[in-house]
Amino acid sequence: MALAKLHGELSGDTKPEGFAAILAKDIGDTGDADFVEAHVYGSLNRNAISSITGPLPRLKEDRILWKSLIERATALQIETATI
Amino acid sequence: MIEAYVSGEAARVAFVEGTEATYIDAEDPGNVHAVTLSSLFRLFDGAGDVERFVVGRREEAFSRLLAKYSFDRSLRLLDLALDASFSIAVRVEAAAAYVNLVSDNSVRDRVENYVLSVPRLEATDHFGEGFPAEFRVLIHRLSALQGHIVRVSAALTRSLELNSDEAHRHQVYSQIVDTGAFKSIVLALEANVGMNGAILTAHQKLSAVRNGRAIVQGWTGQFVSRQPKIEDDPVGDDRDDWHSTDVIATAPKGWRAFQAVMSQQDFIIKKMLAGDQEGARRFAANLAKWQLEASSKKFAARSMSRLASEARKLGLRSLELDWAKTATELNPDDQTALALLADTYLELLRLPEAEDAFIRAGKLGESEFAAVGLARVHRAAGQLDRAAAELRKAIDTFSEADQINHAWLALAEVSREQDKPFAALEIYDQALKRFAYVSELWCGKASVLRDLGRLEEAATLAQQAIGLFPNDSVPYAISAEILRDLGREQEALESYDAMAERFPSDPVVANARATLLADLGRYEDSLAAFRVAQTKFPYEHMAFCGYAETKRESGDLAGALLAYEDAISRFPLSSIARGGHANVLKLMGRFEDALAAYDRNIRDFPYEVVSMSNRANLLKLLGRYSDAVSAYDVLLSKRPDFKRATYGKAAALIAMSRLDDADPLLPGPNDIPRNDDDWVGLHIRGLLLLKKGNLSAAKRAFSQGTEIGSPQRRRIFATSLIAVEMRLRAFTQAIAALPEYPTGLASAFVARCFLEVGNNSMALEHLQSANDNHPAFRAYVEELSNRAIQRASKGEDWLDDMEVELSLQAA
Repeated sequence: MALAKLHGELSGDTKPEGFAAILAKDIGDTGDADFVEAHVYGSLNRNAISSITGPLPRLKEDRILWKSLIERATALQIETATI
Repeated sequence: MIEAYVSGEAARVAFVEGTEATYIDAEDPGNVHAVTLSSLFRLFDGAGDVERFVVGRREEAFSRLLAKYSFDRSLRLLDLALDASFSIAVRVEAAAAYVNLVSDNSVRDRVENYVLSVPRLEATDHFGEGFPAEFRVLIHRLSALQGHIVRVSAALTRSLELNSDEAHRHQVYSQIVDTGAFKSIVLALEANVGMNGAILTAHQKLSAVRNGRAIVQGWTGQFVSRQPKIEDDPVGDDRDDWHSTDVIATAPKGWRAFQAVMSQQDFIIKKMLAGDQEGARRFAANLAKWQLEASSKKFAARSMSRLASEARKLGLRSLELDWAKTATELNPDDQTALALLADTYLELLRLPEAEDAFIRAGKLGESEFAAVGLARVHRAAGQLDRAAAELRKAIDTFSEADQINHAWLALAEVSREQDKPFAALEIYDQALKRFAYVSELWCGKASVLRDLGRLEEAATLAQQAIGLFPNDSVPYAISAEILRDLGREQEALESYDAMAERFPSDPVVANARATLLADLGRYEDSLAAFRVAQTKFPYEHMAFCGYAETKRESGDLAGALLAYEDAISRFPLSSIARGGHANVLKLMGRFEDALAAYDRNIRDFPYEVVSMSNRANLLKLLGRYSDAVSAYDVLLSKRPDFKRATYGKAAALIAMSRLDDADPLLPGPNDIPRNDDDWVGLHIRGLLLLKKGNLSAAKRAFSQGTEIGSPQRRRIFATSLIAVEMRLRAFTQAIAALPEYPTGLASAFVARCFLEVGNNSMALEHLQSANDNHPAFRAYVEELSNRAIQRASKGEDWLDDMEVELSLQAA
């Protein structure tokens, strides 16, 4: 879906770290913001999540919570990556 | 002014100044991001704790962000640490981070408001040694409070359903939790005091809430303290007639009858608190009689059981024993009453009866309590090896039981009594890995370190315990006692002064402070402090015994005797009052009366070794060495671990010139004293050396004891040091060794020194203050008095021998 809408901004050199900035852009007023909005019909469950990727939080407390999230996701066989 | 929006959940603060908007994240405070006004709300998507503030500076808003962040993360980390579905590694990390966050008091107060208001009914798993001790203390406390939290929560939910509309129910609940009103009710329920104050606070907190008064009343009605109210009193203000037969005969049925019983119990407790034991006993008898007529033995037993438990908290052994016995007679299956009875017998050292009660408790299903109880009985009987084996077995058998920490504590203390301090330390360390939330284990370990003379470590541990258990006075007291060990009495006193302010309701603190004042020779201050303690804690026997003891120490023996008689009339089962009374009789020279008093005490407290020991000591003081040795032997047959009896026996044997028999009973000449018993042993070892004429070694031994320790101990060692200096004919040094508050013996010795250096007037002055009056002492003083007027009748050798003998008699 993101590829279909944002293919112009993607190239072979685009790295995963750059995806967030491409997906959501705060470029001014609400009406001018550009983003991909996805609606999930039905309940959101484990099958709706393929992988979880995020930056390592800088604060110690949040790093522990992040670690617990990774642990829980891994137990559910969801791929995780810390960037 | 700046408008700020703060969210701990989002870890973000946004600022609005005119038409400009910016935000800062908690994790990156140096980076200010610009944002459009219209997209401001997106910064807090999903956050439920956004608050708006108007601040003068951005820093103010940022500090509010940090507070909210700490609060939010504390709760999340606590949930994570408690969640057994996560790995131990993550949970331990979460627990450590939680402890770190709540080390800030402002964060902890707010977090506790929530933590102590959320029922956690799920089973909490075992929190092993990896979890920080502070966290394990918290979990233990949380578990202990669960029953109250559930009860308070259910009552609040019911009241909100009745007294508030659904729309603002959640808001009111949050307000009650956030303001700490919920926590206050829970803590008042736990402490069983302060409920009325907590309810009043809840009313104040909800004064602005619609229907707030009805909500609080509906919520807290069932928790209201059941104090007798004048308007409910059927016979007016005359409290002594409150339980008259007429009133009982017209007592209401059902719920009101239950309320009446509770009120009567509270009234009896008040009597105890006021020191009126006889009144309490009389009203309790009336209550039991009424309940037997109006309901059943079972309920009457329950009342007696509760009253026995309350008497126990106040240390009123006589009432505790009577009521626990009555309860078990009324209902032999009342486990609580039987447990209380067993413990009471044990504390009164009525060991066969205690043993029987523990066995009966075991048959009622209290097998762990019975196993540990029986081991405690054997420990009290001096059967330390047997007790240790039984405690180890109990620890193995009931390893999962939470209450088994009592067995660990007892086992460590048995090891300590077996003179195995390193084993005791090891046991404490093992126990602390599992029961870090038990204050007594921390304090016990600190005490063993004190025994070992590792005072710095003991002090550090006591400080840690103070941090973990800030509301427990014992770690503070240990810390103060360590200062005394270090000879820093003034600092110790300052520490007790601070404790008295922090724990105004703790009689142990008040009495310990008053005792320290006496040890410092500040007798008037000490007596005044004990008088205050007697007024505040009329149920506490130590306030009365301590007062009498200070009178004795100050030399006012007649006053001490009266004070002990007063204490005995109030606390007939206080072995301390009875023993102190006998000791004063001894000091007054009423030796036969004293021996008779000791005999009575030994009869009433057959395992109370202090009276047996004092009786043997008195025989020794009177020069009846053979009788004394027999008395020590009887004592040692019951309590072979009682070192002071062994050392007393050694002193008697030395006085009988049986030096070779005495020698093996004493600590080695190079042993380092670790506790009070060891110091007594060292002192008598010094006297043995003096008797043998090995004066330099004796001097070394006595010098050690004059340098550190309590003033009392230093006085005793100084007296013996004077005896050695005299034997060395170094009379000037002997005079210089006189302590500030000398013993009678030291005054007499120094009198001889002054005679020897030709200062008869000073000699006579010291003889006047040498007021001991046992036969040998009187003969010695008489000889010195004769010498002062040039009428000596004995030789120098007689004086030298008497000085050793008097020292041994007093040792």
